[in-house]
Amino acid sequence: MRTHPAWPYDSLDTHAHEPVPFRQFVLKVQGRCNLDCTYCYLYQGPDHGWRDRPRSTSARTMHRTAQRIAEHVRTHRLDAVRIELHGGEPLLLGPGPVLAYAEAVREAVREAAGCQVTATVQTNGTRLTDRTLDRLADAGIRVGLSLDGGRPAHNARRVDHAGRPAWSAARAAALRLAERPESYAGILCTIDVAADPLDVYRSLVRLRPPGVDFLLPHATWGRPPPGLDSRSPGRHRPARTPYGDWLTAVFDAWWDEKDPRIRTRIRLFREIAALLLGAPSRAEAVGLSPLAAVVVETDGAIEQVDALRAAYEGASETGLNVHRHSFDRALRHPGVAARQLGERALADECLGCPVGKVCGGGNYVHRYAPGTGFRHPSVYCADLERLVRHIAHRLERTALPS
Amino acid sequence: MTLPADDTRTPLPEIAPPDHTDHPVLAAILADLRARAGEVVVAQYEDAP
Repeated sequence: MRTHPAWPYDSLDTHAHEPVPFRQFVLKVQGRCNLDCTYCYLYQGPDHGWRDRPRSTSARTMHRTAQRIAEHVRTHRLDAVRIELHGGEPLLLGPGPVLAYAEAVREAVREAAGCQVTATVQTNGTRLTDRTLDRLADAGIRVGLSLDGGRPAHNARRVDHAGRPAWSAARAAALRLAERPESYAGILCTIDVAADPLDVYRSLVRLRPPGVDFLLPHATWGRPPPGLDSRSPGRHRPARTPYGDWLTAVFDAWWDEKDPRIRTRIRLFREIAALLLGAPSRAEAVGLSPLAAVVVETDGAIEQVDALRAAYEGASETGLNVHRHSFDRALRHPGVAARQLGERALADECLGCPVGKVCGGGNYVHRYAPGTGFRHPSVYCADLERLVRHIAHRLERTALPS
Repeated sequence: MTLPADDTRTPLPEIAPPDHTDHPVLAAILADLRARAGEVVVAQYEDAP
């Protein structure tokens, strides 16, 4: 029996708002990973539910998931959806299962409507051979890479189960992808505040990704991130801002980039700038846009996004499964509905904060405190304010007519 | 750095998107925002590129 926080689980009326259909389906291809990264929220965090799940998704579950996605597309007349082939390590057993899953979804959706399906596989790169990349490219599946920088030292935390570094294989994958820009979706980099931010940024852009996102390590008020002290939840000031400082250093290097060959998008910065210019965000890390993503586990369980596992055991569960339930059922789940409420999901401190509409309270899981749940400012509150104010200052000076 | 207490109630500046800019990063952002016009904007899952 899981103990969920009272809000949203007991007190949110999920029929009191108009749900936003899912447009992004995170499909677990493999339930295990060949790496054992020291900071992994999935395998090193408080939730051990992965141990009870199948190692791989069966053909039956792939087929059923595909039917459910097609059903959702038909019901809501969607003209485009994204599927993210995920894990564990989705390429653990080669590209076959990834290709089969993507084809199952495309075939089911093709029969349902003229809906565009964009497919991406997110990999640690260690199994991305030339042959695998060819097959993924032939199937129109783009590849995202998880790296913590462009040098061995940046990736020292990314090791296999025997403690051997993954870097050389991952670097080879990055070099392959750099030669295949049509297949390259980008790099996701989890921030290590002990690393030099400019060295991380410059080493990553040398790998020529079309886009990079810098991810704050998943942390909560109960499990603060490296470099931040344990405190009670709240909007504490003054406060140290190691992550805000790290990101502002990268932002300045990106904003002031003089090399015209380097045009790498950085999602977090682009979305903060968009919000400051009055547009809604496309990222769950900032802003108040509804999250329209859902996860299907290797056994067909319909879940909320994996990051919630950093909060407590069972935090991502919905109790639903594609073999018995539609995705519309998941839209009425309190945890899913809470992610679509915008300002109504924020803590009082955030509602009164001048930065609140831009940071949006930050990533949902970073607001969690044991016992009191998710209606708190982010554990990165001061860091986010530091970054947002810095970008606002630079953007204002750049955008003003001279 | 320590975020000072006395700045934290200062409103953010209101910044209108400029019609034109020579700044390459801002120009790319403005082009992206124009491309988004009219679409349903939702938040994407962070752990996907």
